Amino acid sequence: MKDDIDLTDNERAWLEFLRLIGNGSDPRVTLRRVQVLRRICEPRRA
Amino acid sequence: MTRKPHEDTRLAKYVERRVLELKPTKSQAEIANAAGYPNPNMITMIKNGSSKLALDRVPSMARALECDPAYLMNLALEQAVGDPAAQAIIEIFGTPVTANEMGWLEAIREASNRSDPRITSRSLAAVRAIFGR
Repeated sequence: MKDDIDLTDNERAWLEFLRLIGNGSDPRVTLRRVQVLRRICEPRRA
Repeated sequence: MTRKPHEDTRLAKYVERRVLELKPTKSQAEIANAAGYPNPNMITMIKNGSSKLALDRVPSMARALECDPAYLMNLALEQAVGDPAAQAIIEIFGTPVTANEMGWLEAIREASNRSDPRITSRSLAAVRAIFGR
């Protein structure tokens, strides 16, 4: 097994959701999608 | 008992689509040969669901179809539901992560500064919006 596939429980949850939302299409990461993702994942400021 | 038990599986449909996409550069016979099948008819049987793709053939078939082996393995494991060996593999190892999925996880890791963010209802809604769902 690849070393970079040591996923945390949270990451497994993200993976399951991405598979569900992608409906089996294995969607690519695109620049636009990463930009939106960045906004979602940015740690909230205090 | 139906003669095409795997007709409606995602793997059958994916192999059919991929063979078509490769048609300009690769014949079905060449794909069969690269996948290790002496008889090109085997590809037809996998496409129409008469036969499922054996798990040990996944690496060579992925090379022949020029696709992500992890993605193909997930589809093949899906076909193998009911096979105790396949179920044991999934139970212990989980299902393989594709290159695209690893890209997503790396993007999440980087965007969150490796803080291991939980998936929240806010993030669910935002990801749905990314995919227009």
